[in-house]
Amino acid sequence: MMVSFKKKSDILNKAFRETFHTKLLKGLGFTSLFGLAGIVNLIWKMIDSNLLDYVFYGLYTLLLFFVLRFMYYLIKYSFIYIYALYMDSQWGNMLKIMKAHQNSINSILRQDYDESEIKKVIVTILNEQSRWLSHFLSSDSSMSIKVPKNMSDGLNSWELNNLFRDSNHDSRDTDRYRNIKHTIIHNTPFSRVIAHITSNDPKHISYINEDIPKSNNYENTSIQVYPDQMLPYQSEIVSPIMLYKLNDAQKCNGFLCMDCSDANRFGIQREYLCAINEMLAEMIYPVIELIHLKQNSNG
Amino acid sequence: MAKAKIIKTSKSTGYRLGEIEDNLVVIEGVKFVKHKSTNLKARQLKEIQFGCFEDSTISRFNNIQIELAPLIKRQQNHVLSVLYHALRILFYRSIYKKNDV
Repeated sequence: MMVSFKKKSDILNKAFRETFHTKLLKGLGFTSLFGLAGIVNLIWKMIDSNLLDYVFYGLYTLLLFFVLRFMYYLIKYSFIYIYALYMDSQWGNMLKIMKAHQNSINSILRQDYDESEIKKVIVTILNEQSRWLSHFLSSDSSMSIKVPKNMSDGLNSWELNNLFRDSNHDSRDTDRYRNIKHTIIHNTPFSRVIAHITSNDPKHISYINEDIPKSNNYENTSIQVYPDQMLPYQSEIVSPIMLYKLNDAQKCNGFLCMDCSDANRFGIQREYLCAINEMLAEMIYPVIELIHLKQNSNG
Repeated sequence: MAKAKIIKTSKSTGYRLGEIEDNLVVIEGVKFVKHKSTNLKARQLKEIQFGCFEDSTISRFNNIQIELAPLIKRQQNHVLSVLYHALRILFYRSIYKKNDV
């Protein structure tokens, strides 16, 4: 097992510099040394012993202090390096998973799959994604796809229904959940995403909420399902299932929702998680389009 | 297929979806820009189409029973996991370095 020489020397160099970079040392000027000598002298007189021994004891203590400090920074920077490697590894795994997702989606598009086969492929994709997220965020995560319906009537009746969900969180699709009208207008994430699409800013299409319980003006119709009025998740990312080409008129085939049971888990990774969600949403777009076309041709 | 014309209007802060006429969606809360060529107090920005699904399609998909391999939920120790993945990537890097890839 090898760590590059440059990396090793970087870690040692940083640890060494940090060891001597302390306010305590800056304060320890000659004055302080004289003061220290005075105290040692006083103690020496009190216990009537050899001053030189105490000077050596002082130097040994100082040396021990620096060695411990050096060890602390060495361990700290080594762990930072190991953690960076871990993150590399996780994002590397994500790339492999995305490649597998693309292969599965291509198989749907190239072969004439029936509905159960399409569902199996999509649920497997959502399972893989939620499993990776749960591991990455160290918190239970769920993925689902919501699609619009009842759009012929006025805006107030525009609804979203769950089409696919990862199999670990099937239990959320209760009869009560299905009977509630999940209107776009009464669900902040979806109405905000529609607002974002109009902003012509490709960096901010998705909706991200890292602490739902503390959010003001947050509306979600699913809250009614739970007797304690608490959602089973505290953070979420919602991305529209569309082609992210913002110049022309857009067609939105639904929403890809990612949620996490704990708050503030995305942290500095939120931008990348959002990009991953949008990437997957764009990958799923042709599959939803295919289901939509099949529905229209049958109807 | 449902279509929605998205326009921006209103001086208030915060986004809110509203409706002013059939299939015309207003997103309030964006700084108001009066269009030069019209007296409308709104500016059309973008048209969005929605791939609308029928109830029957959704319920059919929801009722399909599929069999998947059971998911193994691993009990994770985060510190051990970090160490495992870091060592794994170090190991691979050392191999790649040896093979000069």
